[in-house]
Amino acid sequence: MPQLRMALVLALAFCGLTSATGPAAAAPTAAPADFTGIWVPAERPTDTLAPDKLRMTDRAHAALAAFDPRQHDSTRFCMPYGTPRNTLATAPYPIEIVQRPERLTLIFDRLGDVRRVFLDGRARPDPLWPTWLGHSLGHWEGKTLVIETLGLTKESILNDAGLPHTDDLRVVERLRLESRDGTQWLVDEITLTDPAMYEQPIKVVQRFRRADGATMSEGSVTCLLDQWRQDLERRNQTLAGEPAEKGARP
Amino acid sequence: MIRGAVVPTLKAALALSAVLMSALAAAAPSPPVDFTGVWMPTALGPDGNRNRTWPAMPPMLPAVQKAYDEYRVRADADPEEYDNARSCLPYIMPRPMLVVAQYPLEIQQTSDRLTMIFELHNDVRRIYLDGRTPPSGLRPTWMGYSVGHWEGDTLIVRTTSVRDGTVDQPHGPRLTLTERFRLVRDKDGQTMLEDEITVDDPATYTAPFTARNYFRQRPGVEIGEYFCSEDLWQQNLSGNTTKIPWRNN
Repeated sequence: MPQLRMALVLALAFCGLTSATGPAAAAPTAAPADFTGIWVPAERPTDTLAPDKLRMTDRAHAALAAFDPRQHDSTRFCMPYGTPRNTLATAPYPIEIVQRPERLTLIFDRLGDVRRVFLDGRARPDPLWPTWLGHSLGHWEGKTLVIETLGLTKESILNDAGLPHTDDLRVVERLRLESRDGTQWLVDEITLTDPAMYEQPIKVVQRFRRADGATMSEGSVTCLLDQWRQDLERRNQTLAGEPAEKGARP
Repeated sequence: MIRGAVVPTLKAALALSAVLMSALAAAAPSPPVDFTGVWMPTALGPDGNRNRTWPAMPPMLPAVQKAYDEYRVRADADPEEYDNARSCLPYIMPRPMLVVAQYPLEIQQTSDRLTMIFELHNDVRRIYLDGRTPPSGLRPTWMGYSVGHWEGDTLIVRTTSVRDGTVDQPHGPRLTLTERFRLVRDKDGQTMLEDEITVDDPATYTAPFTARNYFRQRPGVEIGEYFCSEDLWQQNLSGNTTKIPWRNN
């Protein structure tokens, strides 16, 4: 019956109109998988980032030989881990994921790195300046979220040992959920491509165990607090009306 | 379709859409407003006039006022020594909400959470909307512990367990902040986010008082990276380590 069909079409159109107007929140479209929650990274059984397992170029060998953590490790300066080191090397500190249909946000407890993954089909900024967290675009392939990250500064490293990369590093991640041993896992299959440093792409699998009861701290603050504790204590005394002691600064 | 059938068809469509909408609403009670987006704080209120976020003379208790005045004398005489930013430490609530400098705030709203990410200091603030009460025995933090609920189109957020130690905006461990977030229109009809903050701390202030800040939408803007210790890191990379206290760790 054409009238009924037309009524149905119009009814759906009105629904669309109603939800598109006004400040009301758009009804979330169901994502293929929901990664929202707190996750604790598991130790990797074999570390594929061991230098003897990699085919490093001469340039990479030279950079690694010159690596001095006191000078070249950003985290010593309360700077972020950067991508992908935040994902590969901050165990056992948890990560938190906040997922919306058009965005995935990853918050790393260790030093407070925040990664934004855009799922809204936007284009990359041009030019794309290198940053610590990089520029991440994602799309769904079935229940797997595929994320490509570019624009990662060469000032960051891949792991604590100081594996180097250039600004041209390309990080592709395949994120999916997996239930095993009565536990839910987040599996991140990571492929690192940087031909100037590594002759072959590096493949790493990092697993995260769901731990929604865990709490997030204020990681970057902890780092800064440790570095500046004396200064802070002195200023707290100041607040309490105690005279400030000159020369107490570390 | 014949002309005579248009009106009954429209009526049927409207009735059906009403049924469908109520079914949708019953299936997933969506929050009345979505604050998701990038917001830029502004010193100008919706009427276009300059907005003072914090009262010039909040009603401090005499002992607090005395300590504050003494601190001000020292700090004004030696601003470098007393500059908070020098320590790279983040702001303590409610200060992150009262920033008027051009550092954006990003909100990611999900069904049971409002997540705020501040470009300044890269701070993250979590507001739980799932009806929980704050756990007891919390360790005070810079952002405090925030729970919220909707009253119409207004989000009411109560924050406790805020770390003390703010100098410019003093408060003690019994501080309670009550915020009212809502969307308002400025005189040109543009949307603004209003945050009205009531500060209640009987150990510091003689009476509760209200601070207020406004934010403008910045669609299409991506939050940048702000790391306070970037200067030290860059000094280090350029070989100047004299200003890096922990260089020899």
